[in-house]
Amino acid sequence: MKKPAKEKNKSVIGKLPVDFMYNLPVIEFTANRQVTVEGSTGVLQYEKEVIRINTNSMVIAFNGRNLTLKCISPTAIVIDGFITSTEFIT
Amino acid sequence: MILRIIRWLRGYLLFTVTGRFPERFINLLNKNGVRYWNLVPTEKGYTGQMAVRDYLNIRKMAKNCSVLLKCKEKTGLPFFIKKYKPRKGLLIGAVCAILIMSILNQFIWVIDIKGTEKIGEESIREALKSVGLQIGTYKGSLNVRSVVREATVLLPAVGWMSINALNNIAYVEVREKSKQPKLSDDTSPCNIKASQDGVITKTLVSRGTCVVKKGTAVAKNQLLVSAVVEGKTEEIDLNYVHSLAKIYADVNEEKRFSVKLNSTCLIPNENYTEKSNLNFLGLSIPVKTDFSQAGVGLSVFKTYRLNPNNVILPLGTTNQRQYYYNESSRKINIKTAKNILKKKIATYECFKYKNNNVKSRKIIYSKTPEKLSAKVIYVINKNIALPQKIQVDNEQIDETGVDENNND
Repeated sequence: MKKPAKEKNKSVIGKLPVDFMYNLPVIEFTANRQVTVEGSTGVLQYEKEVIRINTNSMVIAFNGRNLTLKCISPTAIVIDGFITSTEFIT
Repeated sequence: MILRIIRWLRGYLLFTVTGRFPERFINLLNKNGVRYWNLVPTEKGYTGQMAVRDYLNIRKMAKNCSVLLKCKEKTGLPFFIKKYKPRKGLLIGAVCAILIMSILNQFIWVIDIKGTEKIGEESIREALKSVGLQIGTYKGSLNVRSVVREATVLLPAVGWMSINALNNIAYVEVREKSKQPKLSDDTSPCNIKASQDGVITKTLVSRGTCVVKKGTAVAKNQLLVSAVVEGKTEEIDLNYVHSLAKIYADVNEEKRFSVKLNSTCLIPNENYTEKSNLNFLGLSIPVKTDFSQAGVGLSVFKTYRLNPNNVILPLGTTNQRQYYYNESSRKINIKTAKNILKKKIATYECFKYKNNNVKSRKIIYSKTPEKLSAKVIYVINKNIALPQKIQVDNEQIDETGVDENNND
C-alpha cells in the first residue's frame, strides 16, 4: 500500500536540522573561554561583564569577566573571555 | 604578522565611540561591511581600530546613531610620510643610505682565511690578490672556481682550497699538503760507511757484516758495515744484503764565533714622523703626511678597522710611525765580549745539539785589535752510519760515489 504524498513530505522535513528549519542561532562553546554565535543580527549590549546578542528568534546574553568581541561579521560573532553564565531571552 | 604589516602600510587609526547607543553604531558598521578590530568597551563607549579609508565613510552613520566619533591616534605609513613630508633631507638621506648599502653590498669587505698552519696568511692574501680576490673586489666579477684554481697553482704548499663569498665576507678555507714520506729501499744492496772521522763507541747492526769494533778509530768514508754476507756452508756462497745499522762514534767538531770589539750601531732617537691613511674598500687615501724628518728609520704600522657589534666594515685607518736612528760607535771590553760569545755558543748548542750528546767542549779564545774570537772544539757522540748503494752486476761489485782508493 502506497503512503500518501503529504506524509512523505513530513518525513523529509523531520530529518532536516532544527536550526535550518526554524532559523535558529547556532552556538558553539570552547569550554567557557570562547563562544561562536552564528545567525546573529546585531549586538545589543557590549560591556566587559555582559554581552547581549540579538538573533532572529531570541536574545542571548553571555555573562562573565573580560568579555571581548573578537570577531564580528554580519551573521556571526566570536566572543572571548571567561564566561560564567548564558541566558536565553525569548 | 602579515596582516599587521598590511594594516600599517595602508594606515589605521584608533577611534572612540561615545553616546547613547554605541551598540547600534556597531551593528550599522557590520551591516555596511566596515572592518574594525580590537573593539574594547570603555566606561562611556568603545574604542577600536579601523582603516583610514573606512573612517572617512562612517561619519554619516555616527550622526544617524547620535554617537560621538573621535579619532585618538593615527598610525601607519601614510601618516609617517605626511609627518616627514616637509623634511626632504630626511628622504634624500634615506634614499642615499639605501643606495649606498645596496652598492656596498656588491663588494668584498673581508677575507677570512682559515686552516693555515705553516703557510702565512699574508702569502695566501698576496696570491689571492694576484688572481683577483682582494678587499674591494666586485662580487659580480668574482669567478670563485678560477680564483681557487689559479691560487692553488700559485701556492704549491696548498693541497685544497675553497672560497665561499657570503654577504660581504669571502671565507677562504685552506688545507695544506702533507709531505710525502721517504720510501726506504730495503731491497737494493748497500754498504754502511763512516760519515765523519771518529772513534767507535757502540755498534748496533741489524743487517750486514760489521767490520769495525768498539774502540776502533775510523776515517771518513771508511767501511763500517759490509753488504756482503757469507753463507753457512763451506762452499763459496756470498749474498748481498741491504745493510742496516747504527754506528755511534765520538767525533770532533769545530766551530768559530767572534764578537767585534769596536762596532757602530743604530740607537733610536726621540724623533719620529707619522703618516695616516684612510682605508676604504681596498683604497688607501692619505690623510696625514709628514716629511719633516729624513734618514734611516724603522716603520711601525698599526691598522684599525671599524668593527661595531662584531660587524666588520670596509672602513679603517692605517697609521705609520717611522722612528729614526743615530749611528754611534760602541766599544766592548773583553769581559762583555766573552759573555756575548758564551751566549752565542749556548744558543748554537741549543739548536745544533738538541739530544744533549755533547761529551765535552773546549773553548780557545784569541784576540785581535778588532775582534775577540772563540774556537770551540766539541766531542760529540753521534751516529756516523752513512748508507751507500752498491751495484751488483755479473758477480762484480761497483760502488757508486766512492773513491777507488778506499779499501772497502
